[in-house]
Amino acid sequence: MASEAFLAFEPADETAARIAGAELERNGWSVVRANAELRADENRNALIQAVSHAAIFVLIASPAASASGALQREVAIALNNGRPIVIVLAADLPPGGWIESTLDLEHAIDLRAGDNASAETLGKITEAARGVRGQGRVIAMLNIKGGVGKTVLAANLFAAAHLADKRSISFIDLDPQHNLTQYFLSPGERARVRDRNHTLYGVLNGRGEHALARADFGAIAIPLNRAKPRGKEKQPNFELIAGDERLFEYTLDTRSDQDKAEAFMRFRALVAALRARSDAVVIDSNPCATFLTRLAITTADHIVAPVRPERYSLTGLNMLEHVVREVRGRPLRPAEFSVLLNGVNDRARSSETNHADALTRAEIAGAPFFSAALLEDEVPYAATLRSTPTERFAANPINITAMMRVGGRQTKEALARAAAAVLRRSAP
Amino acid sequence: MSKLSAAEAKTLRAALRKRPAKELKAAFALIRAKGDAALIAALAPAKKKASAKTDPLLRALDLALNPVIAPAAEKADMLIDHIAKKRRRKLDIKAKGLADAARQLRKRFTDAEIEADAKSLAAHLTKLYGGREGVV
Repeated sequence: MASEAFLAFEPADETAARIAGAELERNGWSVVRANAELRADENRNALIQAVSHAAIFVLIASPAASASGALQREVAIALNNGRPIVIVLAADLPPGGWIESTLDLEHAIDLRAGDNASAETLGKITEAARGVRGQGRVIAMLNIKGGVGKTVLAANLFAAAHLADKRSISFIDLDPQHNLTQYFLSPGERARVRDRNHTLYGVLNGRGEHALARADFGAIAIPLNRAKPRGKEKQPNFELIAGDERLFEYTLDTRSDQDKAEAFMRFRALVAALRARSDAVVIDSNPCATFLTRLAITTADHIVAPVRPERYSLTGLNMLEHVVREVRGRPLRPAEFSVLLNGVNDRARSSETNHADALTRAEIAGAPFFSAALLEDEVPYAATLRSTPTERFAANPINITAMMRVGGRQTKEALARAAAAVLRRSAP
Repeated sequence: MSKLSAAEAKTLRAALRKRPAKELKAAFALIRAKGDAALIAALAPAKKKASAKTDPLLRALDLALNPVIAPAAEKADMLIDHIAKKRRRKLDIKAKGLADAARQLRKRFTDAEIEADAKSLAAHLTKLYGGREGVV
C-alpha cells in the first residue's frame, strides 16, 4: 500500500499523465491509472477500493480536468479517504473551476512544459510523493457512544507512548466540549490561548477576525511536556492543538457549506503540518456524528474505539462502523480499526455489570467484524485514570497523566502495552 | 624483604582476609600511593544526607511546593530558575531534586531567602496555572 499511487487524469492530458506516471514508476512506485472501466457506475466500489488503497492520489490538473465530473468524483473519494493529493498542473486552469475552489494549488507541480519539462520539475513529483512516506500516522479516538473514556485514554495512552517509547505525539482536540484541552491546561492558560485564537476554531475559520493564517498552523501547538531535557538528547514533541467551545458552530447548521468546505481543507493542512513532525497525530473526537466527526474520519489512518465493559457497547461499535462506511463510501477494514477495552474490572459500579468485562470481550470477539479489531491488551480500571486532582496544579501538563504519578505500576505497564499495540496496528 | 611478625600477620588477616590476590594488590598499591589522612577520610562512613525530616529548610520547601504536581527534579529546576530570575543572578546549578537544590543554593543564599523564594514561586505558579477544575 505504501508505494502505490493512483493517477487521475482525463484522456486529453495523456502526455502529462504518461510523464508523471513514468517518473513515479522509475522511482519505485506502482501506479494505478484511472480508466474508463474503473469510472463505470457499476465499478464504483472498485474505484473506491483502488483510491483508498493507494498511498497518494496524483491529479493531473488542466481545463479538461476542470470540466470533468468523473475526476471531481475521484478527488472526493480521495478526500473522504484521507489520501494525500499531489497536484500536477498540465495547463492553465480556467478561473472559477472546482479544482481551484476545492484544492490548495500552492504546492502544485508545474508540468505545463510537457515533454520538455526539466529533470528538476520531474524530481518534484517524486519528492512530493516521497514526502508522504515516513510521516506520522493519524489516529482518531472515536466512538459514537459517549462516556467510554476517549479523552482520558487518549491523553494517558499516548503519554505512555511518549514517555516509555519516546514517540513524538501531536493531539488535536476536535470536541466542542474540549475536555482534552481542559485535562491538560489550566483555565488561565486556556483563556490565553483562546484570546489569541490559537485553537482549532482559528484553524477551521477561513475568514473573519478569528481566522488564523495557514502559515501559523504548525506554530499554535502548545507543548505539554515542559521538563528541561537532561543531557544533549533532543526531547520528542508532545503537543496539543487546543479546542474551545466555539467549535459547536460546526456541529449545527449555522455554518454554510462553503465555510465547511474551507474548514475541511484547512483541517487537512493542519494535519499535514503535524504529521510531518510527529510519529502520531491523535484526534480526540466528539461522541456523535457531525461535521467534526467527518473531519476525524476523513483524515484518520487508523481509528481507535475505546469500549467500556457494559451493555450496549456493541451497539456503539456498530454505529461507528456504519458512520465510517457512510463517510468513506466503503466498509472499514479491520486493519484500519482497533477496539480497546477500557476500565476492565470495574465491578463496583453496579451489581448488574458483574463479569461485564468477560461478557463484553466475548460479545465483541464473537461479532464478525470487530473480533479482528479487538486488542489483546486492555486498560484496567484505575483511580488515576478516573480523577484529576482539583486542589493542585501542574505547570507541566504531562505531570497530570497516570504515567507521571507515583505508583500504579500495573496501570502504567498496561497503558504502555496498549499504546504500543495501537501504534503497531496503525503502522503502514 | 622482612617477614611479618605473627601479630602483624594477624592484623592484616583481620582486615583483608578472604580477598582475592588481584584485589589485594590493587589495595596495597593504593595504600602506598596515598597518605594516611586521605585513606582514613575515604574509609569514614558517608555523611548522612539531609532529609525533610531533619532539615527545616527542606521541610519548608516541600510544604511550599506541595500543590505543584511535578517530580522533585522539575520542582528543583523551577525553583532555581525562579531564584535566578528574581535575584538577577546567573546560577549555573543542575539539581537532581529539592534536597540537592537546597544544598547548592545554601552556598549562595540564606535559608530564609530560599524559603521566601519557594513561597513566591508557588504563588506565581498558582496565579499562572491554578484554578484547575475536574474533568469529565
